[in-house]
Amino acid sequence: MAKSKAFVDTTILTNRLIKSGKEKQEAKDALDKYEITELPVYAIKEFKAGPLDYVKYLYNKLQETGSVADTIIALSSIGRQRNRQQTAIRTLGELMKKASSLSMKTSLSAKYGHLAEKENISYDSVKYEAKMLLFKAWKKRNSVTTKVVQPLACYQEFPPYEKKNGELSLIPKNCETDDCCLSKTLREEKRFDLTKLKVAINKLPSELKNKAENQKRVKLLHEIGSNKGRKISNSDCRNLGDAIFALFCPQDADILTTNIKDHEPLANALGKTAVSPEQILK
Amino acid sequence: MLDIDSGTATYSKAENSDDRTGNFGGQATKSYFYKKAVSEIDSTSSAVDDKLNKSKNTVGNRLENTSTGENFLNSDAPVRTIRNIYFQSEFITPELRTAINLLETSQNYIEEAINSIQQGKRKDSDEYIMQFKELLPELFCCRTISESFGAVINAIHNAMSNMKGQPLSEGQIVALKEIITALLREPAMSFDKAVDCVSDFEDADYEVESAGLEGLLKLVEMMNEDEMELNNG
Repeated sequence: MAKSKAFVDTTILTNRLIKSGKEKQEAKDALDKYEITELPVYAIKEFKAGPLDYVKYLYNKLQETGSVADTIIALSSIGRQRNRQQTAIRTLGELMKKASSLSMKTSLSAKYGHLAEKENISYDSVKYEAKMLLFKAWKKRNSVTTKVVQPLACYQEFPPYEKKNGELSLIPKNCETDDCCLSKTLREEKRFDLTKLKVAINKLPSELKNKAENQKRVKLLHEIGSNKGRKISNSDCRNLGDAIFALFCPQDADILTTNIKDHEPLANALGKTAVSPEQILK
Repeated sequence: MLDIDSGTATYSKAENSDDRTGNFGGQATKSYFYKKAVSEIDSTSSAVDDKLNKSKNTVGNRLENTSTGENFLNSDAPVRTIRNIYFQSEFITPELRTAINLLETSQNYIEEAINSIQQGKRKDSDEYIMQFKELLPELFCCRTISESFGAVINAIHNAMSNMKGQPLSEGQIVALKEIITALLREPAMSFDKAVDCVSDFEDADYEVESAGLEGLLKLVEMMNEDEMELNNG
């Protein structure tokens, strides 16, 4: 039985603002099921540093390469990916490039020249779209829920902007402090909760417990709970991730998330509930 | 800056010494020129426009003027006479002239679509919307007017494509009229304003992003996660 209040996590915010189709609709419908929906500023911070950053990255890569095909090829060279995946993506990019160069010009090309060429149309279209999505998502972040709650004293919500070279920037994305504004509350008021979360993670099945993010989280929960002088950096704050939602969700609210597998054990350890849109819409 | 000699509406990014343009993309210069030329048209001709839309300027005769804009200056309609004065202005590029023609034609189709749906003639309404959709490719070719113009037309085009042949509701057609009117009023609006227009438009149950963008974003996400996994490992 769902509660009347939802504490909204980053996945729901992302599906509502960045995704399309079924994921977007489910997030919207799930939010509509609640009388009160609260979005913590922590979710906005995670959203800006994660999903919104991907949109910015795509836009800047398009700007840098000047074509959709070259952007795909450039994306295939990120990191040290598994070879087959990398080859497949690279081939896709090469195919697109070839197709664009062979494509017939549209009937408008006599009048509009390069502006009517398919490759330019695709490129400009996706670039406009990425920019529009980024600014639109940022503007709409506060209207996804009925309330935005729990402001972070060390984090300011600066809007995205365009630099002189045409690239988009989301800086600052981080808290500008060497000790997070949540550290006092965590150390003094939530010490027992930190231990409960640590125990809950240690009890998870090994495939979940051994996930890199959970290993980092357990280590942090232990250090913050046991060392009064332990400062919480921006990356510590990010690594606490799902634990922050469990710790700060009001008792009378559900954590609304698509990532139920990770959130549920943490919420349950503190006597709270986590639900997914699928569960709420059944 | 506008490059009037070459007939294209290119412009430089805002010339701020600061790294931030402060207006989402240096639209201010362009917007200034456009407003200078067109604001007076709006203030003087809106009443004439209304009258004209009801009488002489039917969808049919608008169409004759649409695709090239050549007949536009020769029209003897009163609104044309007023507009001609300004459309000979050094600030008006061929793209802007064509775009305004196409937007006016679009507006008429959409109004007809609204009238039809209100009279229960859903099929006629759909046909007007189909005719409007045919203007979108050429409108997108006018994107040198401004980045915001291109972005708004692109969002409308995606919204129409994402309907997958489903007829538009009355509310959706009204939202379409509003966004076209906003674009007609200010084709070189700031990007910030374009974001507001598209947001309002999207709220009428439109999907303004394409599957192509979603695919590319999934690719970026996948690559980043993959990299993170490897780094963590």
